[in-house]
Amino acid sequence: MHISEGVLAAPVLLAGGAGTVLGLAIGLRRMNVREIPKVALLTAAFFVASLVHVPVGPSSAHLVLNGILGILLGWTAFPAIFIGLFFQAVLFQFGGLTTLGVNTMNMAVPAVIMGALARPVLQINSGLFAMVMAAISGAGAIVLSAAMVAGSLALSGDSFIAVSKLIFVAHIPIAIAEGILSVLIISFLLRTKPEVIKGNIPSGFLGSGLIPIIIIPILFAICSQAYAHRVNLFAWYDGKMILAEGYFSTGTKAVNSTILVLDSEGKEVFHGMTDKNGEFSFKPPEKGEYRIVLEAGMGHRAETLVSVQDMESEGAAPEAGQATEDAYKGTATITNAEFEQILDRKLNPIKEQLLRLAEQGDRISFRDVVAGLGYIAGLMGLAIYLAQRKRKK
Amino acid sequence: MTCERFALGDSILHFADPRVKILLAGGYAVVTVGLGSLEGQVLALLGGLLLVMAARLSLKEVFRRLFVVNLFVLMLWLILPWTTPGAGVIRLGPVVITSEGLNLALSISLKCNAIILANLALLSTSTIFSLAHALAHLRIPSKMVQLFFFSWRYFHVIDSEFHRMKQAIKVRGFEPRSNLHTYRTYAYLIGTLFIKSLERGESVYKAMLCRGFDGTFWLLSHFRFHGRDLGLVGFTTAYLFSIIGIEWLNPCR
Repeated sequence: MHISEGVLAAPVLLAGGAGTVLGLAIGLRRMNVREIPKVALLTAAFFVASLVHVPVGPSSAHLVLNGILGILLGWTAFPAIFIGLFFQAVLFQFGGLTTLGVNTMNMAVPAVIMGALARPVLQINSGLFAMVMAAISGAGAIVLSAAMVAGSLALSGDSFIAVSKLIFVAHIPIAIAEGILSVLIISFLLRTKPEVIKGNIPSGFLGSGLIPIIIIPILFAICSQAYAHRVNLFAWYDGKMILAEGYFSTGTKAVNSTILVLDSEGKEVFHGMTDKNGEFSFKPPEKGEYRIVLEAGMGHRAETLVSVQDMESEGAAPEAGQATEDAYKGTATITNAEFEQILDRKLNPIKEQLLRLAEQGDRISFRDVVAGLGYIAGLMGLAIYLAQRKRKK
Repeated sequence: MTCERFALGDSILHFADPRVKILLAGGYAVVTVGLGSLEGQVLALLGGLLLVMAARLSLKEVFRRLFVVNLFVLMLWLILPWTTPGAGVIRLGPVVITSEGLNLALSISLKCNAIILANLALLSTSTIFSLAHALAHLRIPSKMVQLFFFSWRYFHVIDSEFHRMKQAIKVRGFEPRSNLHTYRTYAYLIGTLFIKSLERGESVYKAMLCRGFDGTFWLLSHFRFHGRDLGLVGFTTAYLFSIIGIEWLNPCR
């Protein structure tokens, strides 16, 4: 679950650090001074419990318990997890100092989200519904954490895509085990000492339910973005057919990849595969914009737009073909104007592609956006912290 | 638990000001993470080794810790070389090992171990208590430091409590297996641990109130910046800056 030092890219580390500062600020703000010993002892208890090996199928796994931590502590789970990870980094060298921010985010955000979802339910219900929520928060927190770990790796470089997928898959059995354990622990707590769960739940300005509703879609956007990447699709219209060629950023051809052609209304008009040269051709039925989607497996995906404007009539098409053929043979003479027309037709798609490339260079990459969001979050956290200090004085 | 094993010792680093050590460890990690050239990374690793030598830590124990951490790095070595796109070096059946993948795995291993060595030498040579004090002196919010302090203070208490409960179930013939009975037993064990720690938290708070606790974290030990700290700071920063300098001279990444 912990990402070691030296793996992640700097923007990801900064964004994680900034997010953690914000989470810590909120968590500490919500924690009363008289709660400190209680929270500290729970932190210690979680740290101890997370060292337990629980058998999962043929092997065993460490408990994470961030779902339950979220249920018991809410936003205060942020400082609790931060401290636990700091101990691990300093004492056992698990994780690390530079990755402390990212690792805290990866575990604490799911804890807070699951806590916010489950706490209101557990407050009023102790029956089946409560147990279902406990299972969801226990398993969901692990799944979300695994997705965030995978996402932070994938955002750090395309090379980590395979590793991040492996990590995600490896966490699925752990998620199931944690779901079962969560139900058992929550039902035990409800029977033995219900005031632990049915205690005073603060409903401050950040409304315990509001934040997750905002955060979850952003997370999903990040994950889907991280997986959709780096295969290039070059498509053009040559007067008769839409031709497309797919290749990876390293230059290898995207062989036997699925090709989807959608018309301007998003309706699928063609579904096929690229040949052994990574090429594909398709005869468009009518004028209009076509969206071509290439799926090269392993999450590699590219899409591009091709507009079919000056569609030649059936009669004109063979003529053009004839002219080119003749030009090759050198038997028929073609006028300069005709030659230029042919050249234009051949070169236009390349021109378009160059323009598009130039445009892409100017566009801000997704990584920059994430880092920017992180900076904003960090500055907000700083502002909250300063405001709180001022109030105290 | 022998977590603070490295904190006992009498080297320069053990006597150094913890505030200085925290700042240096942070700086070392940040600089090392940003290194792109192989020379810089190797130098960072050597610097880490040098610090560990200066701290006179048991090398056997250091390498034992490094081994555990490097299991994660090993996983990257097994996966990255053939999943990274790039120029192929070796072809093993359908798998192509790329030089980019090998370079990436190498750079991660160097950086990771460099930072861990530096952290071992700088942070693990202080007790958690003096680190907490140093954090308070470095203007970390008081609530955070108190949480940190209490968590560590009661970690051992709760750990021995948990150990006792585990022994109790073992005495009654419990053997962990992959079944519902095991899960239920563990769940009750953990639930009991939570309740026990919450109740202890309550009584700790009451005991503190009796002794006049008002939320202030009183700093009892004050650190002084000594001449030998200046040497440590000077040496480490000079080393880091020379690595950065070498990095600048090698613009090709």
